[in-house]
This record gives sequence, C-alpha cells and structure tokens, in this order.
Amino acid sequence: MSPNIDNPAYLLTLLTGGLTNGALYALVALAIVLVYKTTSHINLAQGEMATLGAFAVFALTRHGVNVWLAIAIALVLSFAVGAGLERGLIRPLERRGIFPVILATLALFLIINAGVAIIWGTSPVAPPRPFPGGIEDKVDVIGGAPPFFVTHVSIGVLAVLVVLLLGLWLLLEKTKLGLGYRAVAANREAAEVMGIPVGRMYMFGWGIAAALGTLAAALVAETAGALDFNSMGAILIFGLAAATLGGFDSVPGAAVGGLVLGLVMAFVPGLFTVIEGDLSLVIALLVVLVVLLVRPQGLFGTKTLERV
Amino acid sequence: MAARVVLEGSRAHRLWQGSGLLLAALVVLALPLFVSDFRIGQFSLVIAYAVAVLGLNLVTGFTGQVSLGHGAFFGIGAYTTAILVTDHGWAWAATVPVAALLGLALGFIVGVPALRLHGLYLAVITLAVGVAFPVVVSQPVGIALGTGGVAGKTVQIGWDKPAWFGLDVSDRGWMFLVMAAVAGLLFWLATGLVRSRVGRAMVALRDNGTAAAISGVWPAEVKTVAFAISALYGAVGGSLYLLTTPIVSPTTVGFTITLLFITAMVLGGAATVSGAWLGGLAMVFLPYYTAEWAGQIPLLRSITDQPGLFANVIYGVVLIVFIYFVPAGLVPLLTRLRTRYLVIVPPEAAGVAVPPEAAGVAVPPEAAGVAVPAADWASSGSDTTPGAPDGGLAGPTPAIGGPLSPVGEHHPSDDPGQPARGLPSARGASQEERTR
Amino acid sequence: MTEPLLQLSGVHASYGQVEVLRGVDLSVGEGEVVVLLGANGAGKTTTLRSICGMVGTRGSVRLGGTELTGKPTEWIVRQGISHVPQGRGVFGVLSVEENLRVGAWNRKDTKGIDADIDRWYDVFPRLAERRTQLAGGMSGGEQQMLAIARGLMARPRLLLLDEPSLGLAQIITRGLFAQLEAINREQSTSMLIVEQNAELALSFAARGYVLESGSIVLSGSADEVRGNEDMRRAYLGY
Repeated sequence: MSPNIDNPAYLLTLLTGGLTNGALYALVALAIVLVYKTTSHINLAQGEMATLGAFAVFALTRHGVNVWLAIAIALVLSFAVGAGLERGLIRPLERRGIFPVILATLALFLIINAGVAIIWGTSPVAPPRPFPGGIEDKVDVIGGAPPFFVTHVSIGVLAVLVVLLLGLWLLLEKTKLGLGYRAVAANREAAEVMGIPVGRMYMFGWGIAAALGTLAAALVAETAGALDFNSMGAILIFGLAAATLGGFDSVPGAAVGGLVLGLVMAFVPGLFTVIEGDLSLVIALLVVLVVLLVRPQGLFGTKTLERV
Repeated sequence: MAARVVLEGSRAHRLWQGSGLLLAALVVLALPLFVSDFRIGQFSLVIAYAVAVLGLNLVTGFTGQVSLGHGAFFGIGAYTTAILVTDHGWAWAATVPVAALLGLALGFIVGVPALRLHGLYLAVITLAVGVAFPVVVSQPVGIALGTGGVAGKTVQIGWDKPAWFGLDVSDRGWMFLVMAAVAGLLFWLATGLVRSRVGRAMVALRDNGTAAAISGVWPAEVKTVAFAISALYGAVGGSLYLLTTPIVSPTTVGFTITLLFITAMVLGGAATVSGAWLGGLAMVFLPYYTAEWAGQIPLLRSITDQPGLFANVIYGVVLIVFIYFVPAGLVPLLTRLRTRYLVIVPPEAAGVAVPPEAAGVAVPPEAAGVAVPAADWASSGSDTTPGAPDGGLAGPTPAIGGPLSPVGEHHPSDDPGQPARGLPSARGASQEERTR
Repeated sequence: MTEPLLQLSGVHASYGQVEVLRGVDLSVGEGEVVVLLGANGAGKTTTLRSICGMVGTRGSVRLGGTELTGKPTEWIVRQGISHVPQGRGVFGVLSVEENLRVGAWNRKDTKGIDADIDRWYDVFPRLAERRTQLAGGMSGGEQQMLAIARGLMARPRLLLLDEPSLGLAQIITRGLFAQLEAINREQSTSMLIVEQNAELALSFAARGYVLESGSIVLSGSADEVRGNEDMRRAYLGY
C-alpha cells in the first residue's frame, strides 16, 4: 500500500490524472463504437489513422497555421479519409465476413504506420499544443506537500470530452442523419426497407470515428508532450478495453468505460506500490478478459455476441 | 497439353510425392554447399518464420479463429531459449522442448477465452495479449526473469559442425541443416494433423460451427487444442530464430511481426501447410530487396534514412491485393498450375468420374471432376484439405464424437461415414446457438 | 388496357443455389387489395422480398410501368413501396415516435409528417400512449401496429404486408384488418398481403393468388379462390 493512501491531495491528483487519461481512452473508444454500431466491424487501424491526423495537425502548425484551425482542417480531412476508406476499401469486402475486413484494417495499419515514419521520421516530434502546457499552467487547489493542482491540459481535455459528448448526443439524437444512423445500427435490413441509404450511414460512422481519432491523437500528443509514429499503439488497446468495458455498441458506454478505465489505471498502481513499472497494458488486458468472460456485452451494451 | 491423372494414395501418387520430397531434400542439402553463409543465414531465417507462420495458419487458416497475438508466442519461445542459453548455459537443443511447452501453455491460456468468445471479441483478446507481451518483457517484472528489458537479450549460440557429418559445409550451414530437419519434422506433423480427425474437426468448425457441433465436433476442445498447437509452433519458431539472430528484443516480438506473420499466411494461402514456406520467403526477402531497391532510388533515399520502412508499406499493399484478388493465396494458384500437367484425384471422386482402371490415362482435368479450390478463401479447399467437409448434416462431415486424437496422429483411412455418437454436450450446442 | 400498378412477370428468385421462385406472374391494380396464400416455404415472403430488391431476382417487376428488377432497395422504396416485413422488424432501441419518423425518411414535408404521425396516433391510440417508449419494450400486437403505421408513414402507393397477423390474438387481428380496410378505402392504398389466416384475408381482398413451390398454382377473385375445392381443403380446412 502506498504511504499516501490517506492524503486527500494525493488521491485527488490520482483522480484528475485518471480522468484526464480516461477522457482520451473514451475518445478512442467512441471512435471504435461509432464504427462498430452500424457495421459490426472493428477498425484496427483506428489508432494509426489517428496518428496520421495528429501529424497532419503538426505539419499544418509548422507552416504557421493556428493550432485550432489546424485541428479543424485535420478533422475535416480525417472525416473524408475515414468515409472514403469505408466506401473504397472496406465495403467491397463486407459480404465476405469479418476476417477479410480485419485483414484490410491490418493492412491499413501497416501502411499508415510505416508511411508516417517515412514522412515524419521515427523520432518523436514536439507536438502542437492546443492548450498551454507549461509547468506554471495549472490551477492550485490544495497547497502543501504533496500539493493538489489541476493542469490546464487536464481541464482542456476533459472540457473537450464534455463538449464532444454533447455534440455527439445532439447529432445522433436530434438530427435526421443521427436518426438514420441509429436505425441502421438497430436493424440494418429494416432500415434499408425504409429507404435509408445504409452505405452512407456506414461512411458517416467511419468518418466521425476518424475525426474523433484525430482529435484524440492530438490531445494524447499534448498530454504526453511528444508525438511519434507509434504514439497511438497502446492507446488503441486502451480504447478497445474501454469499449469492451462500456459495451461495443453503446456510445455512453464508451465514455463511461474510458473514464472508469482511466481511474482504474491511475488508482491500482497508485495505491499498490508493490507493482513495479508501467503495467497499464496488462491491467487493460485483464479488464478486457474479465469483462468478456463475465459480461460480454459490457456495462451498457446490448448485442451479446456478434457474427462469428 | 493433356494432364496425367493420378489416383490419390495409389502407387503412382506415392511415387510422385516421394520424388518431390527427395528433390526438396536434395535442394536443402545442396544449399549450404553452393551458397554463401550470408544467404544461408537468410534461408535459416526463412525456416524460423515459416514454422511460426504454419502455427498461425493452423489456428486461423484451418480453424478460422482470429489470432492477433502470434508475436507473443514467437516471443515466448525466443526469450525462453535466450534466457536458458545465456543465463543458464543450456545447449540450444535442450531449450527447444522447454520453449515448446511454454508456448503450448500460453496458447492454451489464450485459447480458454476462445471457448466462450468468437470473432471480434477473440480478436480483441489476442490483440491485447500480443501488444502486452513486449511491454511485459521490457518492464521490471520481465527483467527479473532475465529478459534484458528494452535493450533485449543477447545470446551467442556457437554450434560447430560435428565431425561425423560428411558434407563439406560451414558451421552456419550445419545449423541451417539442423533447422531444416526440425522444420521438416514440424511440417510433417502438421500435415498429419490437418488430415487427422482433429484436423477435419478444425476445418468443420471453421466452415460451419453449428453444423460441426451437431455432427459431434466439440468446438471448445478443438479451439483450445488449435490455439495450443499454434502457439507451440510459434514458440519453436522463436527458438529457431535465435539460431539466425543473436538478440531478441521487445521490438522483435512486437505487434509488427504479428502483422507480418498474418500477411505471410495470407500470401502463401490460409488453410495450406506448404504456403507457410512462401510466407517465410516473403518475410525475409521482401524487406531485403525493398531496402536495397529503395536505397538505390535517390528520391526515396532523400525521404527517409530507413529504406526498410518501405517494406512495411509494400506488405500492407500486398495484403490488400491478396485479400481482393488472390484470397486463397499462392499455393492454390500453384496447385491449379500443376493440374495442367498432373491431376491427383481422391478415390471417391475417381470412382465417379474416372473408372479405376483409367487412372494413369491422360484425361483433361475438367473431365476428371477435380475440384479446383474456390476463390473464396473463407471456404477454400486446398492441397491439404481434400474434400473439405461441407458441414451439412448428411454430408461427409466426419463424426468426432469421441476423445480427440493426440497431436499429429495420422488417420489416413478414417471412415468418413462413421455415425455420430449422439449429440455433443448441450454446452457446445448452445454456445453455437448464441452466436446466431 | 392500362398496366396494373404492380406487375410481376416470370420472376425467378434464389438464395445462393436454391431457387425459391420459379416464374411468378402476379399483379396488383391501382387501389386493389390482393392476398397471396401458400404453405410455409412456398415462396410468399421471397415474392415480397424480390419486389423490394432484397433477393437475387430474374424476370420483371414493374411498378406503374417502371422496371424495378436489379435496382437497389432504397431506390425501389422511393418509388412508392412500403414493405412491412415478417416479424415486424421495428427498431427496438428507437422510440415509437422515432420509428414513425424513420418510416417517413424519404419525405421532406415536415408539417405533413407531423400531421401523419398524429393521424396514426388517432388510429392506434396505444401507440400514442407509448410514443416516447422504446419500441422493443412493447407487446407483439403493439409492435405490429407500429410496423404498419411506420410503413404507411411513407404514404406508399403500394403496401406490402408480410404475415401481419402472425402471433396476434384473434380479436387484435380483426381490429387490424378493419384498420387496413379503412386505410385502403380512404387513401386507396394498394396492398399485397401475405397471410396465413386465409379466411380473414380473403374476406378483405378483392383477388387472391396461391403459391406452391415457387409457382402460382391458382389465381382469381377472392370468391373464386375461396370456392376452389383443393384450396379449401389445403388452406381453409373444410
């Protein structure tokens, strides 16, 4: 047990750290869920596509574009790329089952991962910073030792998650496009009979997912202080774990799953100092295992098992 | 040109098979005599990769279970051998059974969730195992076991050619021959496995889980066994790898190598045994020539200082091209090419299409009723799965009601018409039910 | 002679290797109600699916003179066909009102849509009571009402109904058919109904077809179909 276990400042620091990371996992989990809901596929290249998006932001800011404008441009580009990949690469494989689609996303993984390394090199670059990330950019809450403060980055990341969730909710629940998307997710064939363009809803899901991924990667780079071609490798696993925890077809589940996972991964090593080193991936693996074996549909999911 | 028709299992067929194997053995023996040590090193690596790819193929190609953690199996073998040789002074050969057993155990553990999970969920679990493994070996917990952390574990395996071996080959060449012998044994066992009852149960499970369960295949047992054997092959591949490369590090066994194994499997042909060789060749020579080629083109050289990265792009493109245009892989293509000259007919088919006494008589392949593997790879037959069961109740699906056969046991003459011994466990059936 | 609203000529349909329809000829006139009878597996559902382009089809399917074969489902639906599938196929995780709005997907007239929603709430008061509930939580009868109302939200020229009475209590079925009759009378919506309850369907329909092993073996006015000896023995049970 950690000696700081009864120190409120220490616990609060773990809490905000966990929530900040959890918000990032939630974003990736949301991307995975938005693809899965309609197509029943998991895009294993989601993380690499996100890295590409973050590098696009990096490239734009290096050419003097304002960081928020750069992010906006990258989001639009990511949406187009995601939707285009669904239509051009994935859709023709749809009726051949899950394995060819998995393979196609793995191929994308290889191509984008190596492509980013070829274009921007293998060593980390200083990422664009949408939020001020200096040592002094924080809000002091409790003084003393250890102190408790919240960095501007944490506030920014959590604010982005809240705004995004609100936006997604409005988009999915209050627009006709969102209604069509949910109808396809609920019952593809019935939606087709209603005249809903099913294919376009798939593209919409992929596009939104790609844009979310880009945003996540930009924020991951910001919190990590570095961006490289492998930045999102582990984050994809955390995102998958979060999606598993929340339920693969549940949007709120992805958000809750991400935050819970972030907290678990902050508090378990933070309180049990016996654990040496960074075993967060192992924790994520255990979370996935336990959830899938005990409650395969996750906390909020509905589909218990998908096509074999 | 008219093709020669040969009845499967006939003397003529065995003769063809025997001469083919002999030719292969001669080529392998001759390689270290005529080829430089550098090339022999490359061919040794081909062997190590081919064994690992074969393992992946057993669980994914034949059994239809998505496995995205094969790098971890490869890694556990490589690390076991490295640690035992470097820290404990074992001989390489003595480490292989240990590596194999540890691989088997890890595969079994990964296979246990497969009892309850299908498709994408299994993909997620195996992916997590594959990604977590290199992290664990680089962390303190791994270092305590002797993994050498991020830097990796170096290992020197000097193996002098024994005096009794007559051929004039280098030590490198001798190690190559040892590896070839080990691989030859493993490939022979795998061929036996896929033709055995277990193998047919694996294929039946892949093609139609529900029907297989009804006809007496126990999905749970078959899946776990498939994962365990797959991991065993992966681990032995990792041990073999150390005969070619003096270090294993977390990057060696990362997710990338899993992706390369998968690409190699698709390239050679999922659900083929021999395809693993083509996959292994691609894994070694594709990056080698790509780096050379990219290093020669000034434009590409100016973009990156690591021309080897282009190989991964090409892997990705190759993978996409194969999924779209050669979904069954290269081996079925080559088999089809061969049928222009030599057609091998299973006895049942020959009974219908060719009178027995006509075997050996020139007949066009179409007339012989030879099923050329379907292009759809999910249900593709191949040179190693003759007459893949169609999974139908009344079809030739073998009945696997009893205990599973031991690994590698060969049942060339199993009666496919054997009646199913009642229904499988309710557990097995309901499990498949839920996947609908 | 003018062409009927829906005309199937020599329609073949198959799932993979299995041919289910073997040259079906069938027509539905403007404002007409036609019932399609037949044993399980005769191809009734497949006939409806082939009209909507949901199964591989050869032959000719025409709606008001427009060829539908080979067109994507979403396009066919836009031509004025509503298909209420067997087992209802309501969107369980969407609310009742959302289900109705999905039904009006191809319409742009917001006011008209709102008016129609109110109209079907009047016709089916049970739906009005449950407008914000998830459709998946409703009883079978309520889901059937919703599926039909949803199908009519598109203001179709032709309504395809697949086993509307399946799993419903006798009294609810009667009420349902009364509603369908009213809809047909007031809006002259043409209907092609697949129904197990032959007696009930024939009392409502103008004409009937009997399908057997993928071919039409009997057709005629409702009375003619009802009067046929074989037909009576096979489907009406007297």
